[in-house]
Amino acid sequence: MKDRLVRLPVLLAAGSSCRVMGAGAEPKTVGEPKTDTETRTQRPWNVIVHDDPISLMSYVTRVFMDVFGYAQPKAHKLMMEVHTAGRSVVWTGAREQAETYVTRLHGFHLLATLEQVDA
Amino acid sequence: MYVVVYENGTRWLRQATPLCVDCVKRMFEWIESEDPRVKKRLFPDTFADPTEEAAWRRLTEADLAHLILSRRQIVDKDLARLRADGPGLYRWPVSKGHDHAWISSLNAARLALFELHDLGPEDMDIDPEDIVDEDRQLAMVQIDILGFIQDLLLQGDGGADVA
Repeated sequence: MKDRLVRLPVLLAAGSSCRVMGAGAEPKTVGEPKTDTETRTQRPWNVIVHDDPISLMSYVTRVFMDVFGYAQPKAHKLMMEVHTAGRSVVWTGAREQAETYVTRLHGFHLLATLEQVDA
Repeated sequence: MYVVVYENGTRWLRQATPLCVDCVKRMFEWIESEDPRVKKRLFPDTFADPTEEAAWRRLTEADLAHLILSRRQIVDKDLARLRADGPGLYRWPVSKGHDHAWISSLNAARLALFELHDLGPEDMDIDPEDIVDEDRQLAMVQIDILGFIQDLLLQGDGGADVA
C-alpha cells in the first residue's frame, strides 16, 4: 500500500493534468507538465539486497522481518529471491525512506544498494 | 553446546569449547580490522553514482562505525560474565535485549573472516578438512563455529532448552 501512495505523484508527473473544483472558485489546473529534473526527483527508489555467500538464510529472513516489518512468509520469499536470483528488490518508495532502510540493512551487514526506478 | 533460556529473558550459551570461546572473544579483532577488503565489505557501496556515493558515505559512515562500536560494548559486557561450565567447557550469557548486537556481530565477524582469507563462495561448500592451507582451514572452522552460535541464537526460544 505504501508503494502505491508514493508512486501516485509519478503517474501524475508524466505530463498529465487534472482539474480540481472548489466551491465558488475558478477551476484550477494542477499537475502541469514537470521538468525533467522534477520528474527524476519524484521517481521512486528501489532498495535492492544482493546475495552473499556468508549470511545465513535464517539471518537474512530475520533482518527483513525486523527492518521492514514483513511477515515471515514474505521475508522468506524475498530471502529466497536474493539467494536464487542473486538480488531482490525488497522495497520501493520515496528516497528518504529508502535511505533509512538501506542504512538499517547495512547495520545488519547485508549488501544493500539504492537504484532509482527507470522512467 | 546449547542454549538455556531463563525467565528474565537472558539466554546462556552452555558447554562451549575453548575454540568457541576463542572465536567469540576475537570477533571484533576481525570486524575492526583495517584490512581494506573488510572495510569494503562492512561499509559497502550504496549508490552507483560516485558523487552520490561520496556524499552518502560522508553522512553515514561514522554512524555505522559507531553502531559497530556500541555492539562491541554490549557483547563485551556479556562476555565479562564468561565462566567455567564443567571441565574444560564454558558458558556466557546473552542478556535480554542484546540479541541484535550478538546476531549481527556474529555475522560481521564471519564476513570479515571470509574477506581476510580470500575465501570464495566455492569454499563454503567444501569440508574445512579438505582445505590444504592451514590458515584458510582454520578460518573456515571459525566461520562455521560463529555460524553455529548465530543459528542457535536465531532459533529463539522455540529451539532452546528452558530452565
